[in-house]
Order: sequence, then C-alpha cells, then structure tokens
Amino acid sequence: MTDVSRRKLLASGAAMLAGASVLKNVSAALAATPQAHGYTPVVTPNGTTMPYTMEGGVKVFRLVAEPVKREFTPGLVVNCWGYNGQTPGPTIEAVEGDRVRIYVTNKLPEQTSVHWHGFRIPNGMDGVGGLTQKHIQPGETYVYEFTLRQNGTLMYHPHSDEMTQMAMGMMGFFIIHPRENTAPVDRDFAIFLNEWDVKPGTATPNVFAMTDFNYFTFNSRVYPGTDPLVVRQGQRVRIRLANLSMDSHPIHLHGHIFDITGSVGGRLPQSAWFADATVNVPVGTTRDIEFVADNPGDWPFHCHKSHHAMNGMVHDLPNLIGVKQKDVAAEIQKVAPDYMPMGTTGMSEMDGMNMGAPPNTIPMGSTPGPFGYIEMGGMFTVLKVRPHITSYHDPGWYQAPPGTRSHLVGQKAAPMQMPMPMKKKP
Amino acid sequence: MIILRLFAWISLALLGAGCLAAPVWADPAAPVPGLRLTDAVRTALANNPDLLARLQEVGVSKADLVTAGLVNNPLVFASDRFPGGAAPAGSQSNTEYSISFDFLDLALRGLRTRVAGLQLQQAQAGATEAVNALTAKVTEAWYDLAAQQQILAQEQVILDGSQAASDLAQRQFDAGNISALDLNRQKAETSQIEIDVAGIEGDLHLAQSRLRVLLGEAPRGEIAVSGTLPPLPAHDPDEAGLETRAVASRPLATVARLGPEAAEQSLALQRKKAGLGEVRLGMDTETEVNGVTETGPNLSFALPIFNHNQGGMQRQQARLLQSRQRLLAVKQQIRLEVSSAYTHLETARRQDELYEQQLVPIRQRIMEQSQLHYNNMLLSVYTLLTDREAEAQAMHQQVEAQRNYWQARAELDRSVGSPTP
Repeated sequence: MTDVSRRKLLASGAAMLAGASVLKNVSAALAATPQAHGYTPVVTPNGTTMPYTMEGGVKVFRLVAEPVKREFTPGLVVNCWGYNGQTPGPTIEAVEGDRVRIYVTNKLPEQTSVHWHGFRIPNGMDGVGGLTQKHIQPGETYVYEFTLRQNGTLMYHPHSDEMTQMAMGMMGFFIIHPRENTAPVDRDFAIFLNEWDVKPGTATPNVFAMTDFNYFTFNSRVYPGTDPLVVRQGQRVRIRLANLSMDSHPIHLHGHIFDITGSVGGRLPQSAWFADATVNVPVGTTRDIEFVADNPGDWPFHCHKSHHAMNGMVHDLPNLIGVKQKDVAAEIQKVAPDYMPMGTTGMSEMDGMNMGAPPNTIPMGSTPGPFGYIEMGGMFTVLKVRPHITSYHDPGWYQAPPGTRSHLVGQKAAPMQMPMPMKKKP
Repeated sequence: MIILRLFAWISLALLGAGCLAAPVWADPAAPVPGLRLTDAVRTALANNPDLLARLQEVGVSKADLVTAGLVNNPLVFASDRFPGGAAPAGSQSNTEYSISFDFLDLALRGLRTRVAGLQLQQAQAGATEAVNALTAKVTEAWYDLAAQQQILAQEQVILDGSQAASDLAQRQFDAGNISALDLNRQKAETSQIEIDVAGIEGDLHLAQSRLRVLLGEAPRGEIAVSGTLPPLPAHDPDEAGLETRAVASRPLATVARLGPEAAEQSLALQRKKAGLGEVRLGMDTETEVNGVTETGPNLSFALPIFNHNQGGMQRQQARLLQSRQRLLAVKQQIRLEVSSAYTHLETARRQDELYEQQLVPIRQRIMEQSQLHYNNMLLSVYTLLTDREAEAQAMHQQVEAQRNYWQARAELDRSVGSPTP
C-alpha cells in the first residue's frame, strides 16, 4: 500500500469517525436520552433545573430563599422573592422511590417555610409554619427529608406569609418521574403561571392585590420575554402547567389538539384523557398536556383570558370606542399641548408607538413580527415546530410554503417583511 | 394756589425720594397694555378727592397762622349829645370821642403765633402722612388688580380644561359609553369651576373699582394694569431698626410729637389771659355843653374776681396730658404697624418660596409624568386634565402669595414713613 493510499485510507477513516461523532452529537442534542436519567429531562423555559448531589443514596438539593431581581422582559425588572436567584425557583426533578433531602436556607427579611404541594409525606415534613414546624427564621437552615411515593407534576411554595411570598414569586416545580418511563416524550416543558400587580413606574409587586393584576407570566416572564418552545416536527411533546396565582388560566394552543394527561395526582389513565385545544388550570394544581407536534409553524401558546395576554394594562380608563374626538382634542390641547386623542378605534393605534414611557414600564403588546406588530404580551409564547432542526435554538420566523398563507384578495400572498421599526411620536 | 404749590412740592419730594413703591415693569417679552404703577400713583395724588380735601387742612392752618399774627382793630367811640331844656342858653351839644387798643391782645400775639405755627406744622405732617397712605393704598390696589388679572387667566385655563372634559363626556354619553350619572358628575365639576370663575371675575371688577376710586374716577368702568407681578427681590429689608426709624421719622409721629409742644404754648397763653379778658388802653376826649373840652387816657379791663380763666387753664392742662398720652399711643401704633407689616412680608415670602421651589415644580413634574402615563394608555384623559387643573391652581396660589408680598411691602413702606431698601 502506498503512502498516498494509506493517507487516503486514514483520511477517509477519520472522516467517517468525525461524521459518526457529529451524528452522535446531533442525536444527543435532539433525541431523548432516557437512558441517562431514566426520563426525558424537563425544560423549564427561562428557568433552570436544580442540580443535586448524592449522599448515601439520598438525592440532596439545596434551596436558598432570597430576594431576587427578575427581568420579566427587557425594560421591566421586578423586585421579587425566589429561590437560588430566580423565580420561579429551580425545577427539582427526581424519580418515584427516591429519597430526597432538601436544605432550605432563609435569606429573606422575614420567616418562611417550604410546603411540598401534593406530596404524600410525613406530616412533620409538610412545611406549614406554625402547624407542622416552626417558621424558618432569617439566617436559619432547615432540612426536609422524605421518600417519594408518587409521581406527577408537583410544586413547592412557602407556607409562611403565603400571600406575600407567593405574590413576590416564591414557587417552583417538583417533578417526580415514574420509576419506569412508560410514557416517554421527546420534549417535556414546565411552565409556572403567575400574576403580578406592578404599578407603572414601580418595581415591587403590590402584594395586597387580589383581583386587579397587570402582568401575567410564564415562568415569571412576559412576552416578548418568554422563550419559544422549539420542537422538531413529529416529536411527542408534554407541557406541564402549574398555577399558584389568584385566577384560573385557560391555556390555549394553536394548530394542535392535545390530551390532558396528568396533574398533581400523577398520570391519568388513558381512558380519562380528553382532547381539547384549551386546558383550564385551576389555582393550586397542575395540568399536563401531551400531543404530537405534527403541524409545522409558529403556534401561539397563551392564556385565553385576553387581558392576561397583555402587559401592564390599566383597567379604569374611559371607554372612548366610537367617540369622535377631533375637535374636542383641540380644546384639550389648549391646556395640555402634548395631548393626542386615543381609543376611538380600539388599541391597535398604539402599535409601535414610542413616545417614551414611565421608567420600568413596557408597552401593552406591540412586538414586531414578520407581518406587522404582534399585539400580544403577558402569558404568551410560541411553539415553533420545524421539520429539520439540528438544535433547539430559536429557528426564527416560520416561512409558510407557497399557497398556505392568507392574503389580500386579488393579490398574491405578501412576502415576509423585516421586523417593523418602532414608530416615534410625530 | 398755595395749596397747589404745597401739594406739588409734597408729591415731587416724595417721588424724588422714592417714597412710592417700586414700579411694576411690564414683561419685556410680552408687554401688556395698561396702567403702570408710577402712573397710577401720580394720577391718584393729582385727582383723589379725599387727599385733596385733606390737603386743604394745611390751608386752614395757614389761615389760622395769619389770623394769629394779627392784632385786634382799635375801638373808636363817638357820641354827640344834645342839651335838654334846663341847659343854659347858648349850650352846645356834648360830643365825646375815644379810641382804644386791646394791649393784652398785642402782648399775646407772639404766643398765639407760636401755637398757630406748631399747628401748621402738624397739618403739614398730616398731609404728608395722607399722601403716603394714599400712595400705599394705590400700590396695594394696583398689585391686587395685577394679581386678579393673572389669576383670572389661570382660572380660564382650568375652565377650558374642564369644559373640554365635559364635552368629551357628552360625546361618550352620546355614543352609549357612559351613564347619565357619570356624565352629570363631570358636568357638576365644570359647573362648579364656572361658578368659581364668575366669583373671580367679580373680584377683578371690585379690584378695578377700588383702583378707579383711588384715582379719582367713577367706580364702574374698565381698567387694566400693565405687566405681571414681579418676582420677589432677593432680600427683604433688615428688620433691625425699622421701628425706631418709623417712630423717629414718620409724619404721623411728627404730628403727635408736636402735640405736647403746642399744648404747652396754649397753656401759657391761657395763663397769660388770667381772666382779664381785654385790657384796653386809649384816649378819650369830651366837649361839654359849655364848650369845655376834657381829654385823657382811658383804661378798661375785667376784674378777675370770679373768673380768672381757671376753666381755660384746666382745659389746656388736660389737653397737654392728652397730647402726651397720644404721643405714646401713636408710637405704639406705629411699632405695631411696622411689626405687622414685616410679619406679613415674611409670611408672604415664605409662602412664595414654597410655591416656587416646591409645589409648582412638583405640579409641573406631575403634569409631565401624567402626560407620559397617558401616552402609554396608563392614565385617563380626565386624570390628565385634573392634573393640569391642579398645576394651574398652584400657580394661582403662588400669584396670591406674590401679591401679598408686594402689598406687605407697600404697607411696610407706609408704616415706616419712607421707602425701605
């Protein structure tokens, strides 16, 4: 064999090895890897999963309850309370049968405790301050330890000054996977629903609000700050929804029909599933939905209470729909020269308006999209189903195949545009 | 003529000495036609009938001085008596002639003249006090009118905003967007503001009337003043020494100070009279019916047996004591006026500073922030207009504080008796 031939052989072999390595990386990136964990790891959009250490066969987690500054979206930073520097707190994942030990250190300015919501555990571990344990004082560390005797989408949250601490953002997922992965999915997302009253120009939630909220979040983010849910066409997707707010939230998915498959109580028997495009998530519980992402595109996933898909709305404005304002506007401008009439034809006129805003206040819903402004905010994100992706990074806007997009009668479908620039005040 | 010369002298002296309050200058950027303060004062001093009547007292005192310097005319007596039946034949008529002078009157002329001279000085000081008082009143009335003009303009802004809000509410109601209850609530607010503006217009007319009357004109009629209220000076006069200066130099104090001196001279005059009445000394000549002529001096006076002018002296004693007490009272009154005026000055300055440095800027910032909130659909247009009304209200109140300051300043100048630096 000549040198050249040997080199060719070596080169081709190296290429084959490299290609195999690339393929393996792609597969690892895209395919579920149940063999590593025994389950498909949950993705908490805009959040994290809590790492653990093993100590004598016990999974050990460490939670630190502390004040947190959370960016809901660029331009809005909120003074929250959370765990380990985030709200919601990091997602805890474990497997039914695991023994878990959770250290909770209190760095809040007041006492706290942690309740394990939905858990069948010894009463002394239930985490109700004053009833099952002493409150954890600032600076103290308590330990909770129990064996997981169930599976499902569960939660953890304070049970000391609950009204305040949950209103400030203290909550998190505790997902217990079944011992045997009899219901594998390719993508598993966890989204915590919450509501906030952060008045314009302020940064701290009003914890006394009971019904009048103005920001509605997925994992303490509002659209356009919510990460998209990127999946490959054909994957089986599970989305876990948890709700510790003051309202129920009917969460709707476009383009797909899903099954409601589980709750805090665990996976429902298939005979109990029912199909829908909207799942109502009551307060104090969770809902799992599953579907096959077989419809490519950019699919909104949002709360269907329309105010919950807006940002910073104020609710005591005068109703000016249908009110002619042109000449009365001139009278008002005599005393308020910068006044512009608004509201006669709805709120779309606010799209792209950039007239300045009070500090730490964002537009209601005016995000540039491929065909104009997407007039949504709050509890809104986009399920991005793509046929050929090699990573779960945001693939950009969906390009519909010819003949599959709505268009003006008499014209061909408009081409996609660059995102529209923000309008400035004339 | 003397009176007019005296008035002109007083006015020019006062103007030259800067006794009048500092004039208000028209805003150089936007001059407003109307009466300037200096012109108002000049007109008032020339035309105000109260002042002109008051100035006549100087004339009266002057006349009294002239009279005091005159001696009584001599008394001439003549008689012609015809003889009766028993007179011898060839008898002629009895004729008598005499002439006499009241020498006591002559002796007392000096004292009389001194008393009348002191009273003339009092009248002159009183006239100066009256001129100062009128100047202060005109100044205060001028500032009040200037303030009312500004306040009305600001209230008009408030009314315009409220009327616009009512107009918008009516349109909302017509479109079926609000109830009649909410519409009427808005209209009630506008109506109240209209009532308030009517009251302010009435205040403006009253201020015009007051100034017109001071200028010697009829009360009803339009009058406007030029410019706007000036900003407050950097510093107020130093309070130390103002009361002493006022007591020493204010014309009212001069009037009171001359009182005891005049009363003492009058008491001396009464003592000199001593119940003698007249003391007449003269010559008398009489031709008898028999043709014999007798000529000689005559003297007549009242014997002070029962009345030696004890009543007159007691009266004058009492007036002397009275004048001394009045002097003390006037000094106290002057000190109080100075002190009160200074307190008004300090209060008005403090309020103006708080409006200028705190409330008005805060209201302006509120208005800016409201506009920003409104632009982002975070605030109602009605709230925006309410905030504008509150801003105008703060500016209205600041104008009142500025007016109060300048009126207090005029009051202080009057109470001191001369312009304060």
